[in-house]
Parts: sequence; structure tokens; C-alpha cells
Amino acid sequence: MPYLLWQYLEESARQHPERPAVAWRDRTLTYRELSDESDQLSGLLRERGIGLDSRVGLFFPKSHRSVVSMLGIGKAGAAYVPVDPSAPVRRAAFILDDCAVRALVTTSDKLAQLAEHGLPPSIEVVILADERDTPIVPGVSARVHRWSELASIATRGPAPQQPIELDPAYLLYTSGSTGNPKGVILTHRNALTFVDWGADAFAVQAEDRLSNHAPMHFDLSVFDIYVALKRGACVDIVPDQLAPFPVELARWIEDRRITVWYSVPSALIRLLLHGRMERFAYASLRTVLFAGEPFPVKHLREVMRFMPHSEFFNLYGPTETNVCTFTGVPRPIPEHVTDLSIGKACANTEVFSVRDDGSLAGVGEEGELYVRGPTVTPGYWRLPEKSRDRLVPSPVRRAFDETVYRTGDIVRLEADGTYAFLGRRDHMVKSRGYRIELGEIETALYQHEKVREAVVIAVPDDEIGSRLKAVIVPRDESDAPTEAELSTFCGGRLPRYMVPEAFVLRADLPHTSTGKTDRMALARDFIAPSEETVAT
Amino acid sequence: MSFGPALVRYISDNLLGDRAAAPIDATTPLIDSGVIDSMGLLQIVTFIEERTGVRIPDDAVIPDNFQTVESMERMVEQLRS
Repeated sequence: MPYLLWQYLEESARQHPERPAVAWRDRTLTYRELSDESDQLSGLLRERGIGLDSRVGLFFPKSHRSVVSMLGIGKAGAAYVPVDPSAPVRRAAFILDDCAVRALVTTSDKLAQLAEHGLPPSIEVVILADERDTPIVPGVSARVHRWSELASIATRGPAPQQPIELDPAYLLYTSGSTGNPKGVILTHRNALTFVDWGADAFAVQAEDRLSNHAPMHFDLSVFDIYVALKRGACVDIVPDQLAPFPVELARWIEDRRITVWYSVPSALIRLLLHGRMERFAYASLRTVLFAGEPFPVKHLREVMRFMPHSEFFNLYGPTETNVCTFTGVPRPIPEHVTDLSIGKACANTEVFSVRDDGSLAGVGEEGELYVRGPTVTPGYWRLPEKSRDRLVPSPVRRAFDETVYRTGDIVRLEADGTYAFLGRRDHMVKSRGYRIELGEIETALYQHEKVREAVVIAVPDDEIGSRLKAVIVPRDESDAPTEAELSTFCGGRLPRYMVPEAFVLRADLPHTSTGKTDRMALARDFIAPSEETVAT
Repeated sequence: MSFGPALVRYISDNLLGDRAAAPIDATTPLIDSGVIDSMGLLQIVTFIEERTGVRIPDDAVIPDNFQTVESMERMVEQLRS
């Protein structure tokens, strides 16, 4: 039985080496080829002394080589750290430095950007994943290898010294409320438990073709890649150049005969609103999974109408726990349903909700959702206080010496045992499925020399979850920053999905009776009368 | 009047992130360089529609028409005619 992620690949490669494993544009790697290439990458890393207790960064636009890299790094015994390739270089450098990666798989243009900013000193080895060999950037202190060199590596295959299932398989960085992203550690056991559940729950078979729409630094991609590898199926990576174009994406799903689709709801809503979905029958598409944010029911009904052959499932779970609850979506969705349930716990996972007084919430009561089980992260990378804040002794099962994850999500337990998602305890919001801590954006804005005060408001939106608006009090009203200036400033520090859409200047901020900034009053300035709630 | 120069400025101000220092012009490839992602595309479509009054149909939102600012200008000319 596999207890490390890369072992899924080796089992499937033994059973059917010539089946397609990964497709990207016009390239397809068979299981044998994927196994061989990842063996070569593993060999190179091993020759450079990179293995157990090391981390290796991935910082390049996704392709079949992303999957080769994840598996090669795993075979070397190391953990991988995927970084958003569209992130500003200073944010990428922060992440790579924070977890002290010893090697980096990237492209020559990304390496040039990093080198200009200052390559994190922990990086000893760089492997260029460019499609074609390019001149090596001069002045880089690390040893740089081209992808074509992998074929001549003498040492090949998995390292003799392998981690155990409790060791990190990968780290995923998410928005942090204190101004910097934080690394969530996911062990092999965390991921395998989730992947085993997913492969069974959706009956994935070798004949399936799973899409990979989510970026590699987003936990949805873990399902796409490893469920496919576990079952000997093919994962087809949506090219970054095609993903923004809804009409092309709709055609791609049809042409590539995708059988299992998994994305955030906003990707499906864009298809619905702009993809001319009526043109195709999607006859191959048997399962549609979505996660990351609530799916407005009015849009979901329409998407289901255009995909009549598919079963739909709503998956829920923060990065820290993998998917922990799910539910099938009834077809048709009954008229009275206005919000989708997040369902019940997945196999081998326990969820429960706790009232403010620390007691277990009953049917009809609101409480904070807690998660317990082998999919739960052991903690955040080098943030012991943050880990202690979220991973806590169970408030309801004190007999066990174990921790459970406190999600910060407010839910209500329904009579049928499912949970309804009601909102957040804190200032975390979702936009396009991404978790965003408003405090991280505010921290970035406070670094602008012309900003005295900054508050970011999330306005609910049916298409993308939340739209971000910033309210700024300038230091000097006669020399206030322009909207373009603030947008460019944020764009240099934050991923694009965290850059506010609008910046509104005010002479001062409203305050509540306790002296706090009155976010609700600010939100009312942005919100249409029909919208009821705002995350602040 | 062409909306090209204004769009180049808009992209420089809003979509280049920390690449803002590297100047772009009407012939700079925008898709392969990652400037146009889902969010960027939506912003550009809205900008062009507001600036020109021309509605861009969904079928025209394809990579060929959005490779460069120049190709977007050609698309709008065709839509106008």
C-alpha cells in the first residue's frame, strides 16, 4: 500500500506503463515516461545532496513538467513548495526564503526576476523547466541545470532513504493576516487519506480523464493529479494561455473528453455567462466537483442544465484539512433551496460544531466548525503560535490527547446531519475561490508613504464571491495617492486576486462606539440595497 | 481615435504588477507573458467596451484577438465595420 504520494505513480506505472498519465497542450506523458522523467529529476537532486528534510520550490507556469517535478522531488525524499507563478517576485522570494528551499525548479525569465530581486541564499540548485533550452542567467550564485541535462544524470530513481508518512509532502502558502503569507504543512498521510477518499467517493477509473484547472499552488490540484495517478487515469492540464477565454475553455472540455471536472464555482460561472455553453453536449463529462466558495444556486441550476450528463458535488474544506465535508447536488435543485449545504464529513474524517460557550452545537444551532482526522495539517511552517491558535485540544473530547483544527467557519447543524455554511469569524474572505486575509492587503497599503489609514472591504458578488474595495485616508490631502498609483503599488506586493478593484479616498474613517473602525458603515457605501451581508 | 495608447497605459498601471517598470507597447505579447489571466482579460474587455462603446461578443473573446493591444485594436475595427 502506498504511504508516500509518488508511490501511486509507481504502482500505476507497473500496471499499465503505456497509458497516458499527464497531458498538457499537445504533449502527453505515459506512465512509463512520467516515472522515468521523475526518476531523473530525483537523481539530479540526490546527486546535489537534496533529499530528506529539504524543500524544493516550484515557480513556473504550470505544464506537464509541474507534475514531473512534484514526483521527482518526492522521490528524492524532499517536500515541494508550489509558488504562484504570477505572484510578484518579492512575494515569491519571501515564500522561498521563509521555508529555506534548497533547490528551485523555475524558468529562465522567472530566475532572472528572482536574481534581480536577490535569490534567497538557501537556494543551491536551480533546474530550468523551459520548454526549450535558453541561455543561463549570469550572476546566479546557485548551480543552474537545464531540463535537457536530466537525461544524462547517472543516478536515477527514488532515494534509498525515504520519509515516513508523517513527514511533509508539500507546503501550500495562503494569505496571512499579519501581512505575509503562511505555509501550511501537508504530510503524505494528510494527502493520501484525502486522495484515497476522493478516488473512491467519485469512483475514478483508469479510463477517466480529469481536468486540472486550479493552479498548482491551490489545493484543488492535489485531487486532480494524485487521484488520477492512483487510478492510472490521465490528468489533463488546462493551459494558462487558454484558461482565461471562456469560449475556448468550453470547447476544450468537450474536445479533450474530460470526464471529471474540478474547479472553483467562479470558473464555472464564467463558462455559463461567457462560454456559449449551449454549443456542446459535454457527453463525456460524468462528474463535476466544485469547492472553494459558495456556488450561487441560481447560477448552478443553469450550469447543470447545460451539463445534463453530469453529477454535481459540493466539496468543502480549508487547505489545513483537505476536503472534509461534501454533498451531492440534487438534480433538479428544489425550488425552495437558496443556499447549498456543505454536506457531511468525508470518510475517515470527523467534523463537529462548537458553540461560543465551548459546548457541542445541536441541531439548528450555530457554532464554529472543527475538523478531526488524518487529513488535518500538523501545523504552519515555523509559526508555532499560529499553529497553537488553530490546532487545539478538542473542546468536546477531552479524554484524548490530540488536537483538532478550528476552521473559523460558522455553520449550523441541520436535522439531516448536514452543515449549512453561514460565514466567517474573522476577516478572511473568498474571492475566485482564493482565501484572502484583508489584513494582508491593509498591511501592504500601510507601506505606501502617502497612506495614513487603510481599510479593505469585501463586497459580496454572485460571480466571483467577493469584490475588494479599499478605503484610504491619505497622510496629506493635498498630495493624496492616485488610484493608479495605489493599484500599481499593491500589484508589486500582492497577487492580482488580492489587489483591490477600487480605491476610495476619505478624509477620515468612521468609528464604532468602542473606537474600532466601523467597517459596516464603510461597507454600506459600496453595497447595493439588494445585497444583505458583507464580510468585513 | 484609437484607444491603444490609453489601453497600454491602463495595462501598465493595473495589470503588470511588479513588472510595471518594464515598458510595454502595442506589440508586446500579453498572453504568453501572463499579463492576461482571467481577471486581466475581464478588466481589458470592460476597458475597451467603455472606451469605444463597442460591445465585444463572447465569440470574439479568443486568444487571437487579445495577443497584443494591436490585435485588440484590429478586433474593434472589425466589430465596428
